[in-house]
Amino acid sequence: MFRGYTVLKCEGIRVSFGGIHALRDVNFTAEYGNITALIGPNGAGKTTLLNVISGLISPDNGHVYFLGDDITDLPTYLRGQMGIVRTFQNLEIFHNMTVLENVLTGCHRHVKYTLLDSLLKTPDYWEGERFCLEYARNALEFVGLLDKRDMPAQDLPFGSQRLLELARALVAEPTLLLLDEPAAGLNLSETENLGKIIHRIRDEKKIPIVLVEHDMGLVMRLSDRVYVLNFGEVIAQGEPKEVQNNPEVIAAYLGEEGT
Amino acid sequence: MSGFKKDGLSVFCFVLLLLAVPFFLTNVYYINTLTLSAIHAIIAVGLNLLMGYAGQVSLGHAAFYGIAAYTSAILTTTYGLPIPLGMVIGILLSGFIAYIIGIPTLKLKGHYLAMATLGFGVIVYIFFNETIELTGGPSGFRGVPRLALFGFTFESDLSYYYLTSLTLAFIIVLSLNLINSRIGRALKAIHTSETAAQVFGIPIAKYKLFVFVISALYAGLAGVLYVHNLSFVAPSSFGFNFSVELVTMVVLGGMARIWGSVIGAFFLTILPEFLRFFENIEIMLYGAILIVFIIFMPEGIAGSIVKIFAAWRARKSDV
Repeated sequence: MFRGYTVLKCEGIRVSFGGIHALRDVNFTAEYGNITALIGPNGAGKTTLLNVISGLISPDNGHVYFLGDDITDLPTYLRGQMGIVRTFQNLEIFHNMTVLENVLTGCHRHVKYTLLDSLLKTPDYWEGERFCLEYARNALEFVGLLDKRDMPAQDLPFGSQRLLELARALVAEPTLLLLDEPAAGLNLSETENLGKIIHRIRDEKKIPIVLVEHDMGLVMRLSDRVYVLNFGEVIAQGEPKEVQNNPEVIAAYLGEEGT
Repeated sequence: MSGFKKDGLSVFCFVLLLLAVPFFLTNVYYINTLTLSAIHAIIAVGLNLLMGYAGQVSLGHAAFYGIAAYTSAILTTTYGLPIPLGMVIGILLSGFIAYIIGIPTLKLKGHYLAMATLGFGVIVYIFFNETIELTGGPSGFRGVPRLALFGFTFESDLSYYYLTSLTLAFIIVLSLNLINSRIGRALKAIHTSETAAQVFGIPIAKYKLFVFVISALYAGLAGVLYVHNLSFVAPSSFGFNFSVELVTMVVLGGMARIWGSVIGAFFLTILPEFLRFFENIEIMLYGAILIVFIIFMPEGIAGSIVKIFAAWRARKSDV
């Protein structure tokens, strides 16, 4: 589509918890057609930045722009309705539902039939439900969980629950997809499969992605652009290759010489 | 859609059963017990939407039941308003008070929400007792007219039984439809993860308030049906004990199962009538039965039935 067009822009984001500065004046952008990775040691503030983008934390300072609009003060659910959708590091599966119902819930922002429509099962209701069902099936097929659709979500193995979160996010047809450590806890072959799926999300679905991940192999393979956070500050940014060889990044990961 | 057909079929069978019962049970006392069960079931279904589906505990639902009952009683008796109008105002007032109460209290979670609703229930109970000029105080409010709709007075107990059971069936259909929609899914989502629900565009505060008001409207409907049947109300019917009993109906019947609440309400309303026979140890037996049920059926009666049925089907397909 408009590759390179800025979807998300964070300007001077500052967040502190008590005396700890989780983020200090962070600038961050994500563009159409790109997978933007966010890496850094534990506690660097990666998830905090993701929370700021999805509105779960409001920054002490700075602005978040989405498609040019200032969304800094918008609540999470409005950002969700605008198409900023995410997955979670510690899974947030709806475990009181089946796999299919989980994905149907992801469709919430696309169906607008009213309370009265649901109570009386009007044609609008049926149309909305058919629409959701079709989208949900497609999303489940995309991640390869279609045959498990009637299982209770909590009975899925861990790896499949990660894929379910991905399907639930995809069905929302996000304008911006935030992935918080999608490979955490996955084994090698599961990680590889996940990598392929994320690539297909960028190339087939054309959804821009912000990826927080610890698996460096995966990050280097997938991302178009990398931001490195350390102690709440962006210490490097650029293409994966550039970042990989940046001495400051190496120091942050391996510890500086002599300390 | 198979789920839809299954719901339709089960409601149809339920209505047939309710309509058929009076042909086998000719004793008026039994019929009145069933009427009361149906009234309780209406509240329990509403409470289940709030508790079982959306995960918000209320220990004050007897208050909404009572507010509607007293409002309709006072408006129609003291002020001579037409009965249907009194009923509608009663139900709406319950919903309105739930709306006002819900805005601050639904910000609380878990035990804190339970405590706040408990407090609200106690306040309303004291109000019924103390405003003697308005409500008649602890000795009750007498002479409420029996329900008349469109020129037909529900004079006999049997006609009232039919009215309440059909109302219950209607409420069940509405609730099942609600649950099988995007709104029902949003409620279930709020139950397990408020964070994820928000991320998918669900305004959780609005939905919690909505389901709280709906459940209060259900309780209000039950309240006006109750008062125009009995022609008498006293505060003791709307105390803390009854709020707890309502929660027990939902839990014992099966959380997040509409039919479970119906089963729970009928079971807990009818059980004491059977236990009367044991006189002195009645209340002990009642407690013991509850304990046994909760231990062996942690998912409630309806949950266990579904499980047994699923296991039976799995075994049948194995052979």
